[in-house]
Amino acid sequence: MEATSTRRAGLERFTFPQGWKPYFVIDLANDLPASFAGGTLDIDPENGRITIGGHWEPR
Amino acid sequence: MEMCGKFSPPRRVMTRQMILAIQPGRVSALRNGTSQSEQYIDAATYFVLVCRSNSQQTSQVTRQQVIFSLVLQVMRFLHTCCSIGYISDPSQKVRGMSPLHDSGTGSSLGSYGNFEVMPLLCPGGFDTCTTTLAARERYRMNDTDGALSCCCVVW
Repeated sequence: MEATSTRRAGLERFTFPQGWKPYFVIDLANDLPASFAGGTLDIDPENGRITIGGHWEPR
Repeated sequence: MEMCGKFSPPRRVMTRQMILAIQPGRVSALRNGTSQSEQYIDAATYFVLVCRSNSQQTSQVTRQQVIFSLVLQVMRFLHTCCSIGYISDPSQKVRGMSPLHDSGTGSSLGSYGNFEVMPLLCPGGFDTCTTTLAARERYRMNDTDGALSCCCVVW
């Protein structure tokens, strides 16, 4: 896992072992203060887009 | 501000060019000569720069812009409180890389980022992918990151 940043953009690189299929957990329900509640998830395979909604609270 | 105050950085406005120009091997220009500040300046470059932007008391807009970009990438760690979002202590596990950090000092839970992403290997295919935080925690490989220390900031 590698990451770098500029003023307005971040770049991440994930390198997997040769021959392994890459999977990712994208943990949108686990926010920093652990405030997430409720929520919806919509997967649009045609457009390659995942949209979620939910409730998060500031600390 | 705690440790960042020890940097005594020159008063000048952070620019994009500065961010891009400052690499780990070229931080000597930022040092103020004390061993302690050098220790922290040698930390991950972008977190050093966050300290600089804060201590310069730049305008709020500018500061937030810089903070936004510089903490755009934060590693999510557990247990140890380091307020800025990155720590090199190899005894701490990683459970994801966060594209977003909310403002400030991190969570009282000891984590640093929101909505982290973590690569997984699922030997038996998708149905065997783990889903819990504990199952995906991993130690880093030793000596594979450039950060030598941790820059702790109190906003």
